Amino acid sequence: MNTLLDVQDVTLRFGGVVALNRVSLQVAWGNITAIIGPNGAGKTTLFNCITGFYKPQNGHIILTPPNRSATHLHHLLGQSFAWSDLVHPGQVWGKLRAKMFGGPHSVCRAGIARTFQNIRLFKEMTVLENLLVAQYRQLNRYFIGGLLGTRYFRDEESMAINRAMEWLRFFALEADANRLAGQLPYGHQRRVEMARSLCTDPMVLCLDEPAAGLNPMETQALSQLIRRLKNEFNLTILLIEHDIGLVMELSDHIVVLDHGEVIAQGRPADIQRNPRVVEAYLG
Amino acid sequence: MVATMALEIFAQQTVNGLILGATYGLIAIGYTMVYGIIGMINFAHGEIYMVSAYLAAIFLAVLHFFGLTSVPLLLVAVLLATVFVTALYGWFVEKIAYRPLRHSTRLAPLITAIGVSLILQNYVRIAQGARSQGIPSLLQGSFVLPVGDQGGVVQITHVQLLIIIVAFLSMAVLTFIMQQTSMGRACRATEQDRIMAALLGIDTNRIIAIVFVIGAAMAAIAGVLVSLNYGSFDFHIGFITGIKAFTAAVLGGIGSLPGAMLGGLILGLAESFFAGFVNSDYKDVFAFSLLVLVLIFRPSGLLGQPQITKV
Repeated sequence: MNTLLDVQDVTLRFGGVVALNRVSLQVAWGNITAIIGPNGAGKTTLFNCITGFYKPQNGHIILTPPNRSATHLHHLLGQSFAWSDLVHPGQVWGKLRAKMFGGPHSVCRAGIARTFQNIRLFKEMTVLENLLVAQYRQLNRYFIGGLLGTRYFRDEESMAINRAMEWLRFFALEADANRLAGQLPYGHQRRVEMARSLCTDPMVLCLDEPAAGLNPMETQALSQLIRRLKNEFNLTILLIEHDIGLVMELSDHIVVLDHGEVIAQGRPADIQRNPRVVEAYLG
Repeated sequence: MVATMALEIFAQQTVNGLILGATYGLIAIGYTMVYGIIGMINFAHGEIYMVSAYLAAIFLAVLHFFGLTSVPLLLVAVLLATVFVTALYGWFVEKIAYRPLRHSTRLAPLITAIGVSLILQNYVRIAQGARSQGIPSLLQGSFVLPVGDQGGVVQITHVQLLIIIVAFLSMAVLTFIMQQTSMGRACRATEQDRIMAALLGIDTNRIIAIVFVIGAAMAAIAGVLVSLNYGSFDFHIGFITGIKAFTAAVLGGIGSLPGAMLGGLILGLAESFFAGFVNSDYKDVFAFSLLVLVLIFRPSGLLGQPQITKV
């Protein structure tokens, strides 16, 4: 098994409340990993840690792309200086850099994208613009080029539009490209959000309850899309979902959280028979 | 005869109002963009405008000293240099006074804004003296256009024409940048949902700094143009102009870019019509009464979107 994302002993406290308690899990490259658990188990909190929205007090989250060096995701959010910096002055530069320029955006740039349970589209912008915003990193950021309409700027812009249109075609949304994102029906908005996060060119796609509020037919279509993302684009997918049928059907690996702790993980068939899981869900 | 007089005043005050309104609009852009992106009112913005007037005078003197005598070249060079240095001021103010307070209460940056405003005022007073300073008028002459058939005239000086052209050109350029370039898109995205924008790989701190720079640059354009027009300024001009521009931003709907420009123009025209036809001493009263009236009927301003609170 080739581990892409390694979560080691992550602990997150809000004041006295322990939201995550020594959570460890591995996400294999090219797999669909589902995180399930009762409400308030800390699933979304874990997502927030992985995507750099929260900074855990303890533990490591390490992203190791194949054939590349590992990235400690929480280092990208900025660390405090320590006495050991005097012994290893080499690391000071990296820390200073992360302090000044780091943040959730560097986690995204490292290759992690996410969607939200409550959809967070830029409602006042068109669908296409939403997808172009997500390509900001890949694009020419200097407005002078845009102002003068240089060839370089126009080429990049049309490349970005092509990339966005490809993803819109994949999600069957081409017809909505120039509509305002806020005016789309709910099911479409969900797919736009997925298309937008894919435009950041991620390695790991974190989906927070993608099937929430969808009818059974839409859920079925979604399940096929997620499977195609895995098979055709080699994406690694992290999934939070309450629809157990969808989870069992899709995932290669399941992690069960309860009260901020991992109570079980394994293949779908094993999880179904695990007594602790049954207890957490029924009791 | 009376009708011609009225027409003449009307035409002249329209020109004056457009000029006043264009400068209000330029300054209001800084208020509205900063409010849109981080939800704070940058009370130091008027002072940035004041600093730019002084910088324009300094650059004018320095460039003239080094032998640049061609007036068009001098104007362009002074404008560019002032915009650049004022933008640096805006960038530093954000870096020093607002960014460290990004995650504290909403009121904290408001207080530092007042602090920055006082610091800039007193810094300029100490460095440049409390007496009002002036710059020589570079552009002489004016166009005189006939109005009506009874020999009425309206006068537009070259400086006023320059103000109108430069102000509207820079507003058009800014609108284009915000609508068409990837940087503008990132600004709009950050304005709508800062956290989501960060999760999509946009360095939101940088975008916020860029917004401050844009606001300061626009204020600098206004500063150069106004000091060319009036020729004199002191360390205190930022206060009242800042309040007026802020009023224009609120009038147009704070957070809305076209709203700021429209609000500026309406405020400028209203003021100058009131001054021309009724009483020039009470023009400020009229301007603020207009604001109160608009806010009673449209609490979010002319082009602002009403806040929808989800329950």
